[in-house]
Amino acid sequence: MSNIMNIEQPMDSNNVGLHSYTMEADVSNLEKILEPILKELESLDVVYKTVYQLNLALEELVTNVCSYAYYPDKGMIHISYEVKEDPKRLIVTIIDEGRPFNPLEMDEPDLNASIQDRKIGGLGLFIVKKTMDNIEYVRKDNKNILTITKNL
Amino acid sequence: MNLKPIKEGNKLVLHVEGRIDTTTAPELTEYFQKELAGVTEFELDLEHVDYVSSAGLRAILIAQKTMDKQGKMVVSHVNKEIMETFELTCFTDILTII
Repeated sequence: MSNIMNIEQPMDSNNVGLHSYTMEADVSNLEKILEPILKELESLDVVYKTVYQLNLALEELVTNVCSYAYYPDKGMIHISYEVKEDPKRLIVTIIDEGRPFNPLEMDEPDLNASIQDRKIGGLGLFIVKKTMDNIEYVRKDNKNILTITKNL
Repeated sequence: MNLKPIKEGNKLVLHVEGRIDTTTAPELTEYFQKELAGVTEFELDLEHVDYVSSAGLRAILIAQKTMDKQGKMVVSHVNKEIMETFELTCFTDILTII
């Protein structure tokens, strides 16, 4: 891969709480990709319900990148996260250099459809939208940049 | 994830243990596609499952669709967090949760 954005350095020198890492965007890495964030939450004594919702949302978003962003090729996923105060919140940014995909433009699933008409897709992103406090998507420099915020 | 089935005639109880997520859901879907054939009463026991992602929801939906055609299905021992996901996605309208 060329042109991997260097996000190893904090974006500004005051921002010591920003953690960033890059891994191969592969579903088999899912656990490794999520681990640092889940560990951080554990160390902060966040209520279980919030940890669970973040686990669900992050699994969904990371899986999307791993499954579709570069398919059938391989690529990298860049994660950065930080905890901010007032209100206390976790901000996670997920970046890939794959094909453009704005999850906020996906149609919501029809939850009232009868069982035989229930569509298989769309549920994961629906859960993300319902459980996170803010989601922002930007397409910039051939990158998908998705930022989610969850109050802790 | 571990699958522990108990089968008696046309009745199947599947005890699942662990997490039903992106990495394990395909195995569960494959199990449903193979092992629900001929089953008329199916219980999916989630007592030892602590996490179900959207990939898990899709697997469970496949089982429910299959069982709607050939018999009855119930989902048992759903924990609080998984129940919240079922409620959020209106799976509570589709599944019979006991």
